[in-house]
Amino acid sequence: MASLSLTLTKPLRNVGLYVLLMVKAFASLGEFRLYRKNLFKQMVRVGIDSIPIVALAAAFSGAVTTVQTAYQLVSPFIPKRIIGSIVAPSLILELGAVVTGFILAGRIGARFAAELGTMRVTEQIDALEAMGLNSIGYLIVPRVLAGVVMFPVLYVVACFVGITGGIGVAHFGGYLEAGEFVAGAREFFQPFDPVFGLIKSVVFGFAITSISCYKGYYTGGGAEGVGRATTDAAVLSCVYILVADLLLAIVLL
Amino acid sequence: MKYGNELKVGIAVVLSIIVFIVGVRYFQDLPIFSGTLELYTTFENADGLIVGNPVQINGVRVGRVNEVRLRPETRNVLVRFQVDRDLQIPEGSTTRVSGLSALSSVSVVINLADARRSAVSAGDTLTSDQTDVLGNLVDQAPRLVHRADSLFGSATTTLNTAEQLLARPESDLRQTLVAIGTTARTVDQLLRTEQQRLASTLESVDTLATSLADFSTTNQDSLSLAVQRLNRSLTQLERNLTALEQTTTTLDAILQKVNQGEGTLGLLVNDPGLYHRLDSTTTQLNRLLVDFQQNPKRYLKDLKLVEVF
Amino acid sequence: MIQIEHLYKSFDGKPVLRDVSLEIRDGETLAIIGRSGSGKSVLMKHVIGLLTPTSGRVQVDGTDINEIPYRRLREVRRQFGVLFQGGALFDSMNAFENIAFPLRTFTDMEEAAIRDEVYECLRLVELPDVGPKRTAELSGGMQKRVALARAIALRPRYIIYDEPTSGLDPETSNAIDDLIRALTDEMNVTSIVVTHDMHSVLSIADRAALLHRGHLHWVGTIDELHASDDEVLCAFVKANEYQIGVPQRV
Repeated sequence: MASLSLTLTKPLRNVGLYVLLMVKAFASLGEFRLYRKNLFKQMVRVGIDSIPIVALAAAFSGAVTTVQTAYQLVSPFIPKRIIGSIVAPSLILELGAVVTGFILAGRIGARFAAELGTMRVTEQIDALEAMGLNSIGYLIVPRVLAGVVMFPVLYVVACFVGITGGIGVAHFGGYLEAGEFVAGAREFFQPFDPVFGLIKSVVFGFAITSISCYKGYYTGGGAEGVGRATTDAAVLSCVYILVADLLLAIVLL
Repeated sequence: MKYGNELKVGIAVVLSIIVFIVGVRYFQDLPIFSGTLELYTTFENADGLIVGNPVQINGVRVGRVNEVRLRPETRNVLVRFQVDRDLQIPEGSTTRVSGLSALSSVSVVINLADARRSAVSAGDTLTSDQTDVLGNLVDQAPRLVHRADSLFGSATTTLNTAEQLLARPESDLRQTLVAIGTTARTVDQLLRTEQQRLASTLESVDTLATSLADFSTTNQDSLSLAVQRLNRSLTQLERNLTALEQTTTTLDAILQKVNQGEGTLGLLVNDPGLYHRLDSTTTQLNRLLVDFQQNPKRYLKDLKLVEVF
Repeated sequence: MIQIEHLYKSFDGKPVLRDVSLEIRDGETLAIIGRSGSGKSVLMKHVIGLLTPTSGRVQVDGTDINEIPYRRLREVRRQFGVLFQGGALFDSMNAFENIAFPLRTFTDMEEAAIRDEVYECLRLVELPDVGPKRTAELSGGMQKRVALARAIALRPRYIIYDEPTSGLDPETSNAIDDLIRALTDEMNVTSIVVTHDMHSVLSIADRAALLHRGHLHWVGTIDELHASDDEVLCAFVKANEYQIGVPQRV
C-alpha cells in the first residue's frame, strides 16, 4: 500500500521538485555577480563549442531534405522551385530547432547531468552551500541561461548552414538552380516562421538545460547514480523537445 | 585574455542577430541595407490581405504589409505597409488589392502616377482604386456561370422537348414537318407538270408567232402590240417560277437539316415566328398553287390575247 | 556557541536522528563519534543547515538557522569552514583556485592579496608548492589538506571536519591530526570533528559525543571517556584500538 502510494506520488513529487528548483533558480537571477564568470564559460561551452557539430548536422539535414524532396517531386506540372518552398520552411520551422535540440540534448544535457551529478556525489555542491554560496544560482542559473541565450544562436547557425547546404546540393547536384531554390523559398516565406523557430529554440534551450541540471543536481547513489542521471537527462531532454515541439506548434501556429 | 569568453559569446550573438535579420529580409525580398518608407492606404475590402503580404509595383516586390486593421467607425480597412526608401512614389499613385487569398498570393499593388509629380513621404496615405480586374472577374464569375447554367439548362429542356415531340407521331412539330414535306412534294410535282404545259404553251406560242410573222406584215401595228404584251407576261411567268424554285431549294435544305436532326430544331421549336412564317408561307404557297391551278388564266391572262385569234 | 535541541530527522519515514540535544561551546573541539550509519554526518549537516530537521532546533549564536531566510542562512554559513569527507575540491579548478574561490567570491580583495592569502593557507597546511596542480593530480591526503586550506581561507569561527582521517594511512592521519590541533591553537576556532577514528579523538578533542542508532548515547570530556564504563562506548573504543593495532596487516 505504501509502495503504491509512493509510485503514484513520485512523479508528482519530481515535478514539484523540478518546479521548485526552477523557482529558486529564477529567484537567484538577480545575483549576477555570483554567476557572471560561469555564465560566459557555459555560454562558450553550450554555444560556441557546439557550432561545428550543429553546423554539420544542419548542413546534412538541408542537403538530405533537398535531395529527398526533389526525388518525391517528379511531376512535370510542379515547378522545381517548389523544392525550395518546401526545404527552406522545413528547416526554419522544424529541422533547424529540432536537430539542434537533439544534438544539444546528447551533448549538453548529458554533460550537465554528469557534471552536477559528480559534484553532488562528491559533496562539491554541499561544499559550495557550506561556504555560504547559493549553489543553484552558481551552478544552475548560468547553465540554463546559457542554453536559453545560446540555443537561438545555434538555431540561426543551423538554419543558415542548412539552407546553404540545401542550395548547395540543389545547385551542384543538378537538381535545380540556386536562384530557383531561393525564388521558391521566397514565394511561401512567412516572417513569423523564423520567429516561431526562435521561440522554439528558446524553449528547447530551457528544456534541455533545466531538465539535465535538475537530473544532475538531485543525483543520488554514487557513481552509478551519476550514470543513471546522465542517461535520464539525455533521454528526457529528447522526449521533452518533442513534447514542447508539438505543444508550441498547436499553441502558436 | 581576461574577457575571452565574453568576447566569443558577444561575437556569436551579434553575428547571429545580423544573420537572422539579413536572412529574414533576404527571404522577404526586401532591400537588406537601405531603409524603408512607411505608408498607409485604405480599402473597403482587404480581400484576405494579411501582415507580410508583398507590395508590388508592376509585378515587382518592393515592400510588405505591416498592419491590416479594420476600422469599424469608417467601415473600411486601414493598411500600413512599407516600401523601399529609394523608391520615388509620385503623389496621386493609387493602390489596390490583387490576387486571391485562397492561393495565398494576395498583394497590394501600387499604380504609379505621373513620375513628374513630387514623391510621397513617410506616413502619407495613398488612395485606393479598387477596380480589380481579376477581382471583378471573380465577382462576375458566379453570375456568368449562373447564366450559362440556365442557358444550358433551357437548351437541354428544349432539346428534350424536341426529342419528345419528334418521338410522338401526333406531335405538332412532326405534323408540321410532314406537312412541309408533302407541300414541297406537291409543289415539285406541280412545277414539273406545269413546266410541260408551259413548254407546250410556248411551243404553240412559237407556232403562233410564226403565223403572226406572216400576219404581221399585214397587221403590223396591232401585232407588235400583241407581241409586246406576250413578252411581258412571259417574263412575269419566269419570275414566278424562279421564286418558286428558290422556295423549294430552301425548303429542301431545311428538310435535309431536319432529317439530319441538327440543333436548329431547338430554334425551330423556340422561335414561333419562324414557325408561323414557315406555316404561312406554306399556306400561301398552297393557296398560290391552288389558285394557279384553278385560275391559270389569271397568270396567263395575257395569253387571252391569243384567243383573240 | 551552537545549540542542538531535541533534533529529530527521518528520511522517507525512516528515523535517522532521535531526540539529539547537544551544546558546542566556543573555543572547544568536540568530537562526534559513532559507528558508520549512526547519523554522525547527518547531524553535522544540520549544524550548517544543509539538512532541515524534521523537528527540533539548531541555534548558532542564538539564531535558529531554520527560521531565517536563505540569504541570512548563507551569511551564518560563512562563519563555518567545512572539511568534507572526500575533500570536495572543485575538480574544475586547480588547488590554488580552489582556495582562492571563497576569497574571490566573498571578499573584495585584490588579486595580489588573494595570492598572498592562498599561499599563507597552503603554508598552514604544509603544502606550499601544490598551487598550480589540478585536484586529480593530488593524493588523498593532499586533497584533504588543500580542502582544509580552502575551509580556513575565510578565517571561520567554526571548523567542521567530516571524517578528516578516513581512508588515509596512519602516518598521514597523524599529520592531519597535528594540523587540526595546530590550526585550533593558531586560529582560536571552535571545532566539530565527526569521526570514528578514536586515535584522532584522543589526540585532538576536548570533548566527545557518542551517537548510537540515532540517539546521543554519551557526552563527556576525554578524561571522562577514559574513566567511563559505558558498554557501548567501551565496545566502540575497544574496536578502534584493535583496528589501530593492526593497520599494517590490512
